[in-house]
Amino acid sequence: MTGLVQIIAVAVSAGLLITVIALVREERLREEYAFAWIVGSLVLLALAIWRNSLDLAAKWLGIYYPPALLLLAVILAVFVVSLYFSVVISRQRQQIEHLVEEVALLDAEVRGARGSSRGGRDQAP
Amino acid sequence: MSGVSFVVPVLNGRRYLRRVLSAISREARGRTAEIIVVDDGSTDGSRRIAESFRLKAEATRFESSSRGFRLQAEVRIIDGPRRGAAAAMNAGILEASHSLICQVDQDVVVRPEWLDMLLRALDDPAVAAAQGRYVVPTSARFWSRMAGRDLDLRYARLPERTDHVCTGNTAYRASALHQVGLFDETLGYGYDNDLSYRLVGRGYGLAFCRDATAEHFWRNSFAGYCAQQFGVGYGRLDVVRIHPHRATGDAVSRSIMMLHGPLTLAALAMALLSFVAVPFGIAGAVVIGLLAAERALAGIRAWRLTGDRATLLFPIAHMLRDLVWAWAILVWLARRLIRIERDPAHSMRRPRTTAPSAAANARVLVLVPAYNEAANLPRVVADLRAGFPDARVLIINDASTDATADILPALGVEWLTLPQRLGVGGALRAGVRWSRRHGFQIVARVDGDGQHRARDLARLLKPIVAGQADAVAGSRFLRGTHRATARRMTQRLLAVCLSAIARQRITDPTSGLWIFGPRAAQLLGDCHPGGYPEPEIHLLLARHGLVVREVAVHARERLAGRTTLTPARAAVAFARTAFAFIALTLRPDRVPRQ
Repeated sequence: MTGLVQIIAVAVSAGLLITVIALVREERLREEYAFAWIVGSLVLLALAIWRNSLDLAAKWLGIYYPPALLLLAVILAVFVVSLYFSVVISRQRQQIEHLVEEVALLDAEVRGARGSSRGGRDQAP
Repeated sequence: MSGVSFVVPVLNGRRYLRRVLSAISREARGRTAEIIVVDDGSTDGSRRIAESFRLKAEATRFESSSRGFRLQAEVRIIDGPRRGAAAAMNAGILEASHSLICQVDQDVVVRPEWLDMLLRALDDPAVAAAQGRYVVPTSARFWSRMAGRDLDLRYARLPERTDHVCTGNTAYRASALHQVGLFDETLGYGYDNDLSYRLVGRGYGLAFCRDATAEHFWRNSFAGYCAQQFGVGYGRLDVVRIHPHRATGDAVSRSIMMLHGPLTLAALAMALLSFVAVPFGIAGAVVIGLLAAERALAGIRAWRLTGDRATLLFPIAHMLRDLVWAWAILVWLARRLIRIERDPAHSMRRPRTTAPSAAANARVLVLVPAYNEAANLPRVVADLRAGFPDARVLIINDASTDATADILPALGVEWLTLPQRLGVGGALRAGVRWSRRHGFQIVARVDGDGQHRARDLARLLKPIVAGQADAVAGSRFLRGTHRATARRMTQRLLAVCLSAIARQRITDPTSGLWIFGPRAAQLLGDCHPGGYPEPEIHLLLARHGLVVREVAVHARERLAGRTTLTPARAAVAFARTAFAFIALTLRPDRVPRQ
């Protein structure tokens, strides 16, 4: 029995997958971050096509209300992904701070080099 | 007759040092000998004792040599590298000029004819090292007898040729030491086992001289016993990791002793599992019972050997030791799991040592972090010129939005301009890195708002130059009374917590007036905390065993403008610091090696 709901679900999942791939193709999304999204949209697509799988998995785990399993899985996945992004942001912040310091040090060095080439220690504009 | 170099590493060994050194010089009399005392940063006056001993030896040396007979040993005192006992010994060995090296610990008093007997054993060129026998001094109390009598028993069964010699009352052939590459400086307790195994691996023989005796003054307290046993157990794990085939022990530590730690751990695990199934609990009890029985038998044997009835309490004392060993195994495994590197301080805790004194002519750089301080900076610079004239000044403009950037060139000092705002932590890190590239050993910092007086810096500098501290902070609260405002109460709370964790008195945790000596500057250049970093600097320095002192200073109100520290930001800073307490203790050490 194929309801309208299933068609929409398959379409949305496929659309998500295509969007991710398109972003990677245009180099707007780096491969290492795309991987999680591709896996996620593939899982969604699989669930949309083979709806029974969710019921089976819920039954096997002893969950009475199958959609609860879906929500739990999604929340868990989002949690992991956002933790991963926090790590990435922390690392980038460290890199940026390092670069800012380095820029300031280089700026001073350039200033010193210009000053000494003019024969004085005074600043360049 | 070949000469002998005695190497005595000393770290806070005031208590027995005089007796240790006199015993050595008695043994050395009439030989070509030198005594090298390696002071690894003592803070208890050991250095003075060694120094007075050296002067006395110097005087009598000439006296007796004029008679022509009793040549006295020459005494030298060198600075240790402060990286652990093994590193200190290596420093002494490298300093030694004779072909035989006697290594004596700071709590070991050798008895007459000790040296003669060891040297006789070393007459055989195949022998690389000869160890004397430790004996328990008559003054020893309960806990030191629990360690010492056990050693008596183990030594009683030791053959004359052995596969392990302990350090501490031992003579080494210098050439053999150099051939195997000296002691492994990454090891704490167990560095002597590691060296012995390497010597045996090279085909050398090791000798045990039963009749060359030395009194060993063990730690005499319950806490001392536990700390030492933890170190011994932990260090042994490091050694076994390097020499896996020695997991079964050696002639001194037999395999049954090696089993005690793991079996106790297993028994504890089984006790936990007994909640799941009762048979586990029974098996655990059986294991504990067997271990206790083994110790009880050992206690009886030790009693018959030494006549000391306290050894009958071996089961109790040594089961406690086994518990400590089980704990050491857990800590060791945890450190390997989170990939903390091997460190001698893990098994041999180092007391806080004095800083190596900075060169008297070391160049000083004053860092002034500034965010929107255009109104104050000219006066700050003028104050520094007048009050602290020998230092260079570096202003770090933290992406100010006012006229700061415009006035900097006219101030006649060095400056950096950060293109993005990083906060005071990032600004200081940039400043410390600039100082390193330009060869400054000492770095000071004052706030850009003019609240600090430059002439206080000279007083802060004194302990650094004298080698009494790695970092000095100006404290506004060391003297006088202060109004009990909410802000002040928060600072008090922070100060109490910091003092407890850093194990030194801190009264002003948020002071912005600092001078950092070479060791501290090195550390901060690598990992200066960000945000409002002052309390975290205290934590970082304490965590790395650096000595921080406070000097009372008077702070003015800021000259112009407003502080960036609003109540909300202060609350965030407090929470951040509270979290840093936890985070920093979990983080591995980042002391730059060498």
